[in-house]
Amino acid sequence: MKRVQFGHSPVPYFFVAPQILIIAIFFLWPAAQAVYQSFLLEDAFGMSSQFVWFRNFEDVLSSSSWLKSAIFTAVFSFLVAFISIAISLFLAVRADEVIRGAKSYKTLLMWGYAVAPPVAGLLGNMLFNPLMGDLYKLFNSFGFEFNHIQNANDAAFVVTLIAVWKQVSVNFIFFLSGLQGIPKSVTEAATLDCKSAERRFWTITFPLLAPTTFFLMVINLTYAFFETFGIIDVSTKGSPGGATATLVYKVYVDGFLGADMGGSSAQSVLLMIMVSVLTVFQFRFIERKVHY
Amino acid sequence: MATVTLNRAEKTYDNGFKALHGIDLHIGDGEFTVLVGPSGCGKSTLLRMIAGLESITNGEIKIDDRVVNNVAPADRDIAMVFQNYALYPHMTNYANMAYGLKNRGYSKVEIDTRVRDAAKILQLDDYLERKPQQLSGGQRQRVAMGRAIVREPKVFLFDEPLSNLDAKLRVDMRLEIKNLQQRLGITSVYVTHDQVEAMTLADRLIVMNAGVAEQIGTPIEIYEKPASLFVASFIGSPSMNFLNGTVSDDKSHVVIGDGSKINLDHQIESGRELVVGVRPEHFTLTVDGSGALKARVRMIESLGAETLVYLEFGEKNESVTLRMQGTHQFAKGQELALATTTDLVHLFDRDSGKRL
Repeated sequence: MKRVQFGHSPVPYFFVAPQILIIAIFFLWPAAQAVYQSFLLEDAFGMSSQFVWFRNFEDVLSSSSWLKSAIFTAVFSFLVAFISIAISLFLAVRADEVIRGAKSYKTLLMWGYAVAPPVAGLLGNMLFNPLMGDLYKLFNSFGFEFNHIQNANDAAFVVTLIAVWKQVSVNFIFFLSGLQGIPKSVTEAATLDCKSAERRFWTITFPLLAPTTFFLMVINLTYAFFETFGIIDVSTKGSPGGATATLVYKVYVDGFLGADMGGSSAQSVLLMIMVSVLTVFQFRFIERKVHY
Repeated sequence: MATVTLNRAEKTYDNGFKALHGIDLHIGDGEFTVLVGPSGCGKSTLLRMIAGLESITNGEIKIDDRVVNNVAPADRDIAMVFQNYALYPHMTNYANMAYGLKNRGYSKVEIDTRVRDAAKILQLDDYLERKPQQLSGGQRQRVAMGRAIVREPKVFLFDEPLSNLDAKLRVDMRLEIKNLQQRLGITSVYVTHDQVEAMTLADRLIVMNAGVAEQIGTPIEIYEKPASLFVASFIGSPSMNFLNGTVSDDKSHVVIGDGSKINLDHQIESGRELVVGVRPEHFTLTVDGSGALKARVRMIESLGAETLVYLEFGEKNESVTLRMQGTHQFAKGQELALATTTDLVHLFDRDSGKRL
């Protein structure tokens, strides 16, 4: 192999320096700190600490509350990703077919994107407020004994609903542009080859959207893992009894509210490992199948 | 085996634009019909209406004796080849060809036989397991043709299938299409803006302009007897020469430009103003200078087998083109005397543009 040699100039390093600095300060350093702290046992006031090897990890992995949170996170993430992708795909396909007033539909469907997660959480809070929440009253008027303050499933439902609603508009934008990226003549060729519109969707449109869907799956899982923090913190705060606390929320609760820095750090290290494994898995095994 | 009939087929788009002004057409069984015209003339719209990709506003379209105005495209028993191939990128070439058959419930064995037969005809045997991206433009277009062939449809529709190919490949594919169509004997409608494709492929040619079929006929009929100024200028390259003239008092000739005469064998009233059309290849040089038209050389294009001479004549410097066999040299500004034969002269009404 012949390699092209460029003159080494320091200028490019200056250009990337700010980015590297940001990554180092806000990601690498805290991550290193988390790894370091996860091996320490600190007293409640942070006056002294002791190196305890893997005891924090043992504690975390053997605690039932962490396991409960891990299971909730897995189920919650899967539901948020799956439901919001499904809904937004449906909306995008329908919006793509609309001819009259298409722009208004699309704009309205994208609006949710502008809402920050804590604001979405606040909206959810109001809608489900037991005193004046419209959705709270609606569900109860149907005869459900809906009470998300005491019932874990109801609380999980509320958090999932808000998280899905918040994410639908993002997915919608990507799906819509994905649909518009499919050449018109390909769709037309398909109408000559296949009469059933539903079959056409599953055999032509959906496979052609697969790269978009995969990308959104990664984005949505990341969103459900991390960004839903704002929604949870404003709406349920992990209640009742930690039933709606995702792993990230639990890290925050145990570390910053419970002042257990070592345990909290161990949790975040575990979280880092899980996300890395998940990402590798997604790219190794799924991405290969979706690109045509 | 099928015929296609259009009765006063009209198309008006939602925005009020009238793309087709009532087309009457009968395409016979096994006939290769070419729709030709400049962009925006409605030729693609017409094809897409036959395919069912565009709705028909008025009139009717029949395939055999069945009115298909409201029949779904997949039920019309037609197959279409698109300009940009329109292959399904996520499927192998085999799956691309098999897709239409699979959806119509053919057995696996039947599909396999048909796909492999088509692949053999189109020399795609070695590429069936690949995906369209791994093929060249010409090969992709062959897969698209294969997708149409395996269906054994009543009608083939071609929407400028060669426009995306380079010049050499275009000529090869043109011959291949012609061969294939003759071999399969399937009624075909072919849209193009390329008049060479139109002339060489067509059993019957339809020259379209602004949503109207200007002339329908065999390529030679259209070349020899263009029905209007538009057709005359569109078919033939370089384009026909048009000279404004007036019929002389004794009706024996037309006076053009600065008094040059072109003989006439039509019976046309004297003094009538008309347009005389002469194809560049129908002018000859006269040695003694007694030709009808004296013109000055402006530019020469030597193509080897033939030479195109661009000249101008008269005080208004009207231009005229001459096409000669072989290579020739003329000096710029040199005066040439051009003559033509009476029966190769086309006469058109100056107002309506119609052939006289």
